[in-house]
Amino acid sequence: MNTILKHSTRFILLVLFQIFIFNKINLFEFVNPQVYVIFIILLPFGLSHARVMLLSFILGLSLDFFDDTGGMHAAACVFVAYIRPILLRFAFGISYELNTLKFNQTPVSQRLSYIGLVILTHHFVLYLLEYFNFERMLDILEKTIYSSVLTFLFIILITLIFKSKKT
Amino acid sequence: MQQIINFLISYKNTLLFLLLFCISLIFTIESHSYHKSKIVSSANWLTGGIYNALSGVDQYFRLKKDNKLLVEENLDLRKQLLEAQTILKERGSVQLNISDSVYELSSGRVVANRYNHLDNYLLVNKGEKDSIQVDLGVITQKGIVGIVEQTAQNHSRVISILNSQIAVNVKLKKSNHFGTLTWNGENPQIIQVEDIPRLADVKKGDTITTEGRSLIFPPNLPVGKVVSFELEPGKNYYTINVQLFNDMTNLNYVYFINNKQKGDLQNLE
Repeated sequence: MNTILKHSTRFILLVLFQIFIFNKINLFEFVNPQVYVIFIILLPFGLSHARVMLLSFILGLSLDFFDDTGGMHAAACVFVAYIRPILLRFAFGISYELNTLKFNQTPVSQRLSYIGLVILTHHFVLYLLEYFNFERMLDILEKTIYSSVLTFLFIILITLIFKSKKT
Repeated sequence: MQQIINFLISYKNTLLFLLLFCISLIFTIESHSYHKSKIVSSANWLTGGIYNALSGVDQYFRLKKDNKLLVEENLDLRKQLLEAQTILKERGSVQLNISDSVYELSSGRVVANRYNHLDNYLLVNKGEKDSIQVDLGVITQKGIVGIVEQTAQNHSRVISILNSQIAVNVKLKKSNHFGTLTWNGENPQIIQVEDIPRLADVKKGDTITTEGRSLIFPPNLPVGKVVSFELEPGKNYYTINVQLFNDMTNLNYVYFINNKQKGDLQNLE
C-alpha cells in the first residue's frame, strides 16, 4: 500500500512539474526536457512487464491530454516500457536476471547507461512521431539530442537530491 | 483451442504492447489531421481547470507588462477613433453605428501557450458557454494568432499559426498579390508565405496582411513583415520568410472574431 501511494504521488507530481515547469523552459525556443520519464526509469524492477506498460501508457496519455500532442507521449512511453527489460539486461547484465537489483545500489556507470538509453529511446520515438516525416530526420535527431542532454542532466540531479532518502 | 490460449499467454506482453501502441498511434495520426474531432485534447474540464487555476499565478507576475500593453492599445485605438471622427465630420452626415458591424468581437485569455512543437495549439479560457464556435478567428491587437479548432463548455482549443497544418490566406499589402501562410516549425518568430507569384515585386520590409476571402479573418489585419525571400530558378512562386508582429511566445489576452454573415455566405456557396 505504501509503495502504491508513493508511486501515485510521484506520478501526479511529475505530470504537474512537467507541464508547469519543464515544458516552459523552451531553451533555444524549442528544447524542453521530458523529465517525467524518470517515473518509468524508477518503477520497481520486480514489477510485472504488463503493469509497467500500462502505467507508462497512462502516464504518457496524461501528458498528451495536457500538451495537446495526440498520442505521441503515450506511444513513446509504451515503447520504452516494452523494451525496458532489454535495456535493463543490457545495462546491468547478470545482476538484473538474478532479480537482486536495487536502483541505488547499482554501479554508477551502469546506472547512467540505463538512464541514458531509456531517455534516448523515448525522445527519439517522441520526436519521430511529432514530425511524422522521414524527410525531416535531421530536425528529429537534433531535437532528440538536445532534449536528451537536458533531460539527462535534470534526471541525474533529481536522483542525486533524493538519494539520501533511500527510496 | 488449448494451443491458442497457450499462444496468447506466452505472448501476452507483446500483445498488450501492440494494443497500447496502436491506440497511441491512432491518437497520433488523428492529431496530424486537421478538422477531425479529437479525443485527446486539453479542452476539457479537468486539464482546462488545472491550467486555468495555475495560470492565475502567471497572471500575477504579468500585471505590469499587461497594463503597459493595454495602455498602448488604448492609445492606438484613441488615435484611430479621432481620425475616424474627423473624417466623418468632414463628410458631414454619416454616423458610426456599432451594431451595424459585420464582425462581432469577444475576448479571452490564453491559459496554455505552446510554441515548441511542430503542431502547436493554444488553450483559451472561453468556450461554448460564451458562444465561442469552431472556426472563429483569434487575434491580438498586433496581428493574427490562430483559428478556434475545438470547443468545450468553458474552454476552447485554438490551432496556432505556428502549426504545420494551418493555411491562412494572406496578401502583400502594397500590391494585393495573395499567398498562403504556413510554418516550417523552426523559429516561432518567423513564418513562411508561399504561392506569391514571381510577378509580384517583393521587397524586404513589405507588410503582409490577411486577405479576407476565407471569412475567418477580416481583410487587412496585420500579420508581419518580410525579412527574406527566395525565388528558386524554374519556379513561379516565392517562398517568403515573414517576421510576425505578434510575439507568439508571449500571449495573454486575445480576441475572437465572429463574422455574422458567415452562415449566409456559406449557404450561398
